[in-house]
Amino acid sequence: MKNVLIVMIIFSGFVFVRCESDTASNFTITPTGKGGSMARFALGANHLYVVNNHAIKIYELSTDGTMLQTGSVEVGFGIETIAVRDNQLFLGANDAMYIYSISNPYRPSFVSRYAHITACDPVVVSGNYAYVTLRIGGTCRAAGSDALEVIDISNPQMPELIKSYPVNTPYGLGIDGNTLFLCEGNNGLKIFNAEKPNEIQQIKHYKDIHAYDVIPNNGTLIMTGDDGIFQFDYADLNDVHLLSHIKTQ
Amino acid sequence: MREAQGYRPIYATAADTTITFVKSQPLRKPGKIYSYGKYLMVNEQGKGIHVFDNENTTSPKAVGFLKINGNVDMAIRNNILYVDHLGSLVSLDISDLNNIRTLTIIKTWTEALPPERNHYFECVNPKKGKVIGWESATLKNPKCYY
Repeated sequence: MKNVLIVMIIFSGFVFVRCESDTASNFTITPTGKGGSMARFALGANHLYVVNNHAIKIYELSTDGTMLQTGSVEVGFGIETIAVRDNQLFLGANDAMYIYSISNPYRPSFVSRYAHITACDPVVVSGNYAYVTLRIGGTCRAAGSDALEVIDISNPQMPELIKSYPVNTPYGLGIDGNTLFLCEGNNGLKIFNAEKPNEIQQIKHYKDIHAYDVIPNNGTLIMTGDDGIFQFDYADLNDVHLLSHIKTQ
Repeated sequence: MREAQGYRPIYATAADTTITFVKSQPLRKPGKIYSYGKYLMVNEQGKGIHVFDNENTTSPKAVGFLKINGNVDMAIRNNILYVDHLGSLVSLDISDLNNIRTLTIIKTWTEALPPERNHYFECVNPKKGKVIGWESATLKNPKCYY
């Protein structure tokens, strides 16, 4: 087992994350894993950010794996997900998407709040755009319609809606470059070409599987749902295909 | 009968409060996923984490199961696994899965209410013991809402 895990450390080297700290030139390569969009944990350079319903809790991590809670920032209510990119945190909440800066990693500071209808909504980010899904009904108890919103975040202080697309009971989502993956619960998994954010095109729809959340990873998509774990090859968007399925019992 | 997706309490009497690595378990209620190097980690809602060797994505192999009662979320860096476990945030050294070591436990959550607002939950019955976590479940005629 020890040998296997040494191999694992070597293999994990390709999953590097570029971490920007206060000194912009400081560039570290860290073997960090990758979670889905429904995550409530996000790893910064030396900190773990955990969201609960109303706050971000900040834990300082030591290289020996020990940690210390160093702070907590009140945000609002109904926070569901957190994602980190560079020195920003993106929070998905019941009624808004929040952007916080972690230029000072000990104290996330408010940058902006993009308000939307009350819904359940994770957020993912790629380039100048944030993609937010809004799911109403069920336990989210709101009125309106399910949507996928593309938000221009090139100016993080003023997020701006580019376009809202009608979707069907969206849960988690993922983006890799211009390829967008959307989980629609019992309505399955949809894959889109998002090259033009105001003109997203559906490429594929897997209807007969339950889709909850995804991790796109260099051409391989990992998807979780009630029917188990599915992996898809999307390296060639004209030939997206199933690689494996770990079934539930 | 009305059914709703929500949370069900996990009581202390039913739960093992230590984190252990055991042989692989069947996947029943997959939750969140996490990719770490060639490993694929799959949360079993409220129970722990399935570890798969995913080097060959056409046939991931079950390596074992991290028994972590109440677990929902995880993150991994440098072979340190960060998890929520029965109201605490825990860091674990998983360099050797057969010899996992708990490094830090920080008591952080109150378990009196489910982890998310705007969800139904099965009302707590104090006679069943102390609530140490929540699992998502399909509830019949739920009466409690948070």
